[in-house]
Amino acid sequence: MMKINIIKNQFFLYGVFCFVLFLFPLFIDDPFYLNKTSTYIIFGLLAVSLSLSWGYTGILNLGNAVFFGLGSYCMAMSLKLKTDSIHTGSGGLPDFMVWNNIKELPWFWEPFYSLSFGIFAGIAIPVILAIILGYFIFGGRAAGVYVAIITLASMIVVYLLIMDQQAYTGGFNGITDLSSLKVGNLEFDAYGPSAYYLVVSVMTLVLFLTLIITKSRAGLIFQAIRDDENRVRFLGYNVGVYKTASLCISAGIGGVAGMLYTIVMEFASPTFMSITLSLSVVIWCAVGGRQSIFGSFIGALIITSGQGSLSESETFLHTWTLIMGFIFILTVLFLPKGLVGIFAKKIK
Amino acid sequence: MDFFISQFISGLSITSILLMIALGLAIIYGTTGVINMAHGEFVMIGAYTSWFLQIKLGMGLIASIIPIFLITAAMGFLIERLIIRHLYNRLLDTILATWGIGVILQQFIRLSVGSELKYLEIPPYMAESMSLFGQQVSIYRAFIFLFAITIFILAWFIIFKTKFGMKLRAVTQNKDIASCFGVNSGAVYSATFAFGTGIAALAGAFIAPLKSISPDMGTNYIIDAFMVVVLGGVESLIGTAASSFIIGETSSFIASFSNDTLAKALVLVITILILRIKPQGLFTRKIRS
Amino acid sequence: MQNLKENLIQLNSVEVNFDGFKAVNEFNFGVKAGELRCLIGPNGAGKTTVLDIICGKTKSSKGNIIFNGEDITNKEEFLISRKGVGRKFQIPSVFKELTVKENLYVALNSSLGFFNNIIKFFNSTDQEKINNIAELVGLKNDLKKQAQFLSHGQTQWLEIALVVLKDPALILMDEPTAGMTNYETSQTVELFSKLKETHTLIVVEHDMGFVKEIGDIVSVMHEGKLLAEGKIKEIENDAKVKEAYLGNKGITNA
Repeated sequence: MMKINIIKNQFFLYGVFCFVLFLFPLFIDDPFYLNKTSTYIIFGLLAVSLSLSWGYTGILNLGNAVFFGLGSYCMAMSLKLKTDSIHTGSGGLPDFMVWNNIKELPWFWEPFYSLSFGIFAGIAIPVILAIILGYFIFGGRAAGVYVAIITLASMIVVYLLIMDQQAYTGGFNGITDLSSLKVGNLEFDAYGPSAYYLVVSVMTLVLFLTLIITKSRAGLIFQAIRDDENRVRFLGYNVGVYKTASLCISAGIGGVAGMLYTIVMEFASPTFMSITLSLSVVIWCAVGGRQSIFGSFIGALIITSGQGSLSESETFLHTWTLIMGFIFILTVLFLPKGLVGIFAKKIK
Repeated sequence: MDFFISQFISGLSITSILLMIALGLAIIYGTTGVINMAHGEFVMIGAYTSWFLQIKLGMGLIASIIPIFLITAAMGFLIERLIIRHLYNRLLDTILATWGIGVILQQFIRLSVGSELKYLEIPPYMAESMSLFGQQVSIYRAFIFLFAITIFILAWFIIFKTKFGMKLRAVTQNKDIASCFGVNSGAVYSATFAFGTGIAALAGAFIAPLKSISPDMGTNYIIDAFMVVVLGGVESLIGTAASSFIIGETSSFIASFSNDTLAKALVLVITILILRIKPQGLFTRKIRS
Repeated sequence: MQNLKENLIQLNSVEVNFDGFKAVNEFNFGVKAGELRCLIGPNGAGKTTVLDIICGKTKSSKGNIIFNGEDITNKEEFLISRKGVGRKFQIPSVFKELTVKENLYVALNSSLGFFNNIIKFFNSTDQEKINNIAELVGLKNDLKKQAQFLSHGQTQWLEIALVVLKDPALILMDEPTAGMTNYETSQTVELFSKLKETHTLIVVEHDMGFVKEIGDIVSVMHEGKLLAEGKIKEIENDAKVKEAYLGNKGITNA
C-alpha cells in the first residue's frame, strides 16, 4: 500500500509542479523574463534526457548536447525556409547560402519546407544517431570510460562537420533570422506567453511520459543494468538493445528540447552542441540528483536560473562557472546522489 | 614521392605532439586508473607558464623547461592529494571530478590573466628550416620530435629500469598487495600523477609558439589524447607510441586532401570504428578477469 | 562412463587459454538431467572457468559445448541464458540500489524484449509470484529493503532466487555457501534439495561438509583437467585426489 501511495504522490507532485508553472505568466508579464524562464525549463528537459541515460541506465553520455543541437538545427531549418524574402536572399535561399555562392537548395534541406517534417526530423535524427551510437558502443561491449569518451568524440564529429560545411549549415554563425513558429492560426511569439505555454505544455508531456517509462518494467531493467549489467545479461536480457533504447529515448527528449530552444531563442548555433553545454548538463544532473528525473530537472532549473538572474557580465559569468566547478567537485566527492540525496529518499 | 615524404614528416610532427600529451595521460590512466579529463588544461597551464616565464621574466625556452615541469608537477601533486585520492574506489567518478578541475583551471586563467589570445615566438635559433630528405623541415618541429622521443625513452627507462618503476608496476597490477610488501602506494600514485601532468605541461610549452595561447586550447587536445590512449590500449607504452603514430600520420594524410577540420572528424570516426572491433585497444593482452 | 548422448550438458575437449596459461585444458565433462553434480578441486583448478564457459562468460578456444542437444559453444550469454542456463556467481551479484522486490521483478520469468517491457507495469500476479519465491529463500520480510542492506547470506539467497525465477533447466552455482554461517548453510542445503527435484545443478564448492550432504556425483578438477569423477566415497579414496587436493584424512578434512 505504501508503494502505491508513493507512486500516486509522485504523479501528484509532478502535476502540482506543472500546474504552478502554467500559472507563471499570470504573475510575470515581462516578455523578456518569460522568455528566459522558458529557456530554464528547456534546460530542465535537457537534464531529464541525461538523467534517463546516465542516472537510470548508467550511460555517461558526455556528448549529450549533440541531440539537443540536432533538434535545434532541424527546427531552425524549417523556420528558416518560412522566413520572408527580406531575410532569405534571392530565390528563397537562406542568406548564408547566397553568401557562399550556392545556386540551389541542397537536397537535404528540401524536406524541411514542411514544418511537420522538421518536427519529425527533430526527434528522428537524434534517435537515428542514438541507434548508430548504440550499435557501435554497446555492440562492442565498451566499458564506462570508453562510452564516455566515444560519446564525447561523436558529438565533436557532428560539431566539426557542421562548422566545416558552412555553406550548407551556416557554419560558426549558425542559422539566424528565423520566422516565428506558426501552426495553423497560432503564432508562437518567442517573447510572448504563447511560446511559454508551448514550452510548459511540452514539458508537462515529457515529464509525465518519462515518469511512466521509469515506472515500467523496462525502466526497472535500465536501473538493473546500471547496477550490474552482467547479471541482467545472465537473466536473458539483450543488454545492448536496452542501453540503445535508453539512449534513443534520451535522444528524443534532447531533440524536443532543442527544437523548443530554437523557437525561444530564434536561432540555432553550433554552441548548442558544444562541450561546454554537455558538461553543464552533467553538472546539473550531478547537483540535482542524476538518479531522479525530477531532481535533475530542478538541478538544471536552479543553476540556470541562478546564473541568468544574477548577472550578464562576462566577469560574473566566468566567476560563476568557476564556482560551479567547485560545487561540482564537492558534489562528486561528498554528494553522489545530489541534492535529492539530502532531501528525499523516494522522490523520483 | 616528394608528396609522401612531406606528408610523412608533417605527420611525424603531429605524432610527436600527440605523444607528449598522451604519454602523461596514458601513464596516469594505466597506473592509477584515473581518467584525467583536466589533462588538456595542464597542457594549457604549461603554455601559460611558458609565456609568463618568457615574456614576464625573460627566460628562454630551454631554460624554462625544468621550472615549467616542476611547477605543474607540484600542482598535479596537490590536486591528487586533495581531490583524486578520495576517488580510487570509484574510478569512473574521476572523469567528473577531473573535468571540474579542468573547468576551475580554465576559469582561473581567464580571471587572472584574461581570455585574449597570447602569443609566443619560436626561439630565434630554431626559427629557420633545414633540409631533410629533400624537404624543408622546420628546425623547431624537429626539435619537438626529438624531445618527444627523449621523454618517451626517459619514461620507459624510469618505468622498466628503475626501482621506482618497479614499485609503479607492482602498484599498477595490484595496489593492495604491493602495499603489503611495503610499497607506499599513495606516494607512487601521487608521483605518477605529478609526472603525467608535468609532461603535459611541457607539451603545452612547446606547442605554444606554434599556434596561439588561449584558456580553452586544452579542450582541443583532450579528445585527441584520449583517442590515442584508448586506441593504443591502456597497458602499453609502446601502444601509446604506436597509436600516436597511427593517428598522427592518418591526420596528416587526410588533411592533405581536405582540411584540418574534416581530417579531425574522420580520424575520430575511424578510431571509433576500430574500437568497435577491438574494444580493448590495439595492443592489449587478454587477462583472466 | 555415462552415455554422452543422454547428458543434459556435455563439454568436449574445451580449452581456455589466458595468454599462454591454460586455465582449462582438454576438458571433458558431462552431467545428466536431474543430477546435482559437485565440481571440486584446489584453487586455480579451473572450476569457475568451466562455469564461465558453459554460461558464455568466457569463450572456449577449442572443443564444443552441447546443451540439450544444441551446440551452444561461444554463443552470447543472454542467448545461452534463454536456452535454460542459469548462473550464480562467486561474488554475489544482485542489483544493489533496487529493493528485493524490484530485484525479483526484474528476474521474473516473463517477456524479455524491450518493447514488451516498456508497457508492462507491476501487478498483483507479479506480487504473488514474488511473494512465493521470497518465501522459498527466506526473504519474505525484506521485500522493501534495498539489496545493498542485506546480509551476506541473504544476498546469496537473493541471487539464487533471481536465478531460480527464470526456471532454467540447468543451474550453475559458484560457491553458494561462501561466507555463510552454519545455519545459513543448512538452509541452503534444504533449498538445494527442493531444487534438485526439478532442475539440474552443477555446484562448485569448497565446503566438503556441504558437498557430502547434497552431492550425488562429484567431479574433481586439477590444473584445468578432470582428475576424477564418481560418488563421494570413491573420490575420498582415490589416490590421485588425495595427493592433489584432499590430503590423507578424507573428505571432511579438505
